[in-house]
Amino acid sequence: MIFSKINQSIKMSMKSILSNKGRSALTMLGIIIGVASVIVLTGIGNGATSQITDSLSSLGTRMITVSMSRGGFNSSTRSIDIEDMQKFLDDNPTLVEAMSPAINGTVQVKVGNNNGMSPLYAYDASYADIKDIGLDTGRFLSDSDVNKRSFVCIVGTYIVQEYFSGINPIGQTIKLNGRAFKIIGVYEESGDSSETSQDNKITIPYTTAIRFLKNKSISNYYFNATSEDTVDAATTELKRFIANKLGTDDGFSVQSVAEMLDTVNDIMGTMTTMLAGIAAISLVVGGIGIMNIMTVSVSERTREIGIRKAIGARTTDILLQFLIESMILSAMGGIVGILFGCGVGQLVCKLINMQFVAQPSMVITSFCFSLFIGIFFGLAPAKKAAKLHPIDALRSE
Amino acid sequence: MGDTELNALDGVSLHIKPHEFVSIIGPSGSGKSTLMNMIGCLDVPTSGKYWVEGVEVSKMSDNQLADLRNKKIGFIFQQYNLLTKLSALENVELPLIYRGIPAGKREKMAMEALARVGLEDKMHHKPTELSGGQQQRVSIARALSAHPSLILADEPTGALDSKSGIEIMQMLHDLHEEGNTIVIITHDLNIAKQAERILTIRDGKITSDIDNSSDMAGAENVKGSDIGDNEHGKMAELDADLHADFGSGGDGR
Repeated sequence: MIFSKINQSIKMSMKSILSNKGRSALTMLGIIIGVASVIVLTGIGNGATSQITDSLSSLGTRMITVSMSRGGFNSSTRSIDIEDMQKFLDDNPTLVEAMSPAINGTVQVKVGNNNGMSPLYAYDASYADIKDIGLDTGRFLSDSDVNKRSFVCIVGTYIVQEYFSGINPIGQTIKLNGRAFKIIGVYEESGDSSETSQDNKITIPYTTAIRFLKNKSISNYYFNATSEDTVDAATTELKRFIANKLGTDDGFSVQSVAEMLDTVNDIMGTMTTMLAGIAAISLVVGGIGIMNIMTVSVSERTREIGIRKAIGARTTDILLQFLIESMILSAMGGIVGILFGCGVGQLVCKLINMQFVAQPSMVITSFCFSLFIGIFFGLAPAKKAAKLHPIDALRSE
Repeated sequence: MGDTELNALDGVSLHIKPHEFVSIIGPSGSGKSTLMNMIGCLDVPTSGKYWVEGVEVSKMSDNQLADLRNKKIGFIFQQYNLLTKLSALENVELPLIYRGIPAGKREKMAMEALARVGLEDKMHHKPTELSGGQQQRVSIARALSAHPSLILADEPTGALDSKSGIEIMQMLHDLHEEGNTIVIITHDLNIAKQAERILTIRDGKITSDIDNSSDMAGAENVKGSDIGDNEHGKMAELDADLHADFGSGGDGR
């Protein structure tokens, strides 16, 4: 019986909403905008998060980076060298399986009369085991390149376009800081091949770099954990090992990609929640719009309420009728808002070249929230209607 | 008003028997609308008591009154008071909805009531598409649909032309002959004279109570008891001893 009454209330509410289409649409607009902005902002936030985490994950989730800060007070007495790191690798086969030192710098590039500056990254051959190196043509560094301190290099697509336009760069000679290097490979394009992009880079063996760049020390070591489960243990063990060697916790950092992912997710999560919170304010404003219209509707329909009460509607029947009406308004607003928000979000993200991720949980939450808004703000007008005295209500025109 | 107490009804005492056809006549401001509100259980007296079929109404809560109106009383208003957004059928179904009768049965009962007032072919029309007389017939159907004990008509012909007015009164006579108890509130003597019993109300007091059924009384009584088992012939027995002040729904007409 209660179910049939609710069913009846829904029918009556739909009738009243449909008989006032323009007003109902305007009332819903507040909720539509509120829900849509929640969906758009969280969708873009989630998209940005997943974009950042994707690019971090492409580094390899097993990767651990050891960064040595130079010039510290304690760096003069003790230091970490490549042999220490090799020892750690050999002593912990269950934790780590590959290690590459890295030297970063800048070199002057000269081909014929054409010259410029390019970032230099020097690695071991095993760097290819740690990170997925996408090569367009040629090959990466080999063990023998590293052992013989060969003057060979792998270049980015910017170098090819700038200095070797129209010819096959493999086997060509390029002068770095005045020394002739042979090009053995070309990286895949990762940006737009401009000078400021990731595609302006040169890689040489780290052994060559130590000798060739003089004063350059190894700035980073990259490790690969044996599996994603050993990343944390390997990170901890590395920290302990290096701190032990240096006699201090300062002057270095050990960070895994997994850790960085956590940090990024934390920050982006907070930001997305904040944005959603701001958007939710407009949802509350939309709720006030519903309250407004429902109040008007109650006073317009005072006579109807009187008739209903005279022929036997209880207080709860009237309350339910108006409450359900405001719930339907807000629920319909919520559904339209979700669809509208997804559409706008997709469009905006397409324009700014980003990913749009509408999480089902967020969609459900914002729908439930709009429903709650409908109940919350519909309650006062519905109570007002339910409390009307049938005689007073019948007498109104 | 100072300390003066103004009573819309003062010491009204009346008893309405089952199958009676009673008219209550009085000029504007006489308290007849207040009396109607009391009889119709739309309001309770400030002091005094009121019984419907032996059940005391005076102390009932709003929800109990709503249920009582729904089950025992069929209202016919001067302004019809139909819901304009609903069809004739839906209007007639309304009291049955609040009684919680399932949809299928409800529709059947409503269609029967509409057929009774001769509007079965107009059941999907909105009130605005019907004439005044037809609208009043819909409202009679609405009053009948729930098989009430009492049909309470407030100036039922007040908004109608004389031809429609005669039709509506004829319909009320027919309903009375079928065994229904009917109370008409009016200020029109010609309408009042059609009832078996005429109560005159003035300044909140009943000033006369005339038996008008002398010529037909015998026949009516036989008919009434003959149809006593019929569900249309439900009995209403009203007893009232009423006092009401202007504060609670005084006579506003």
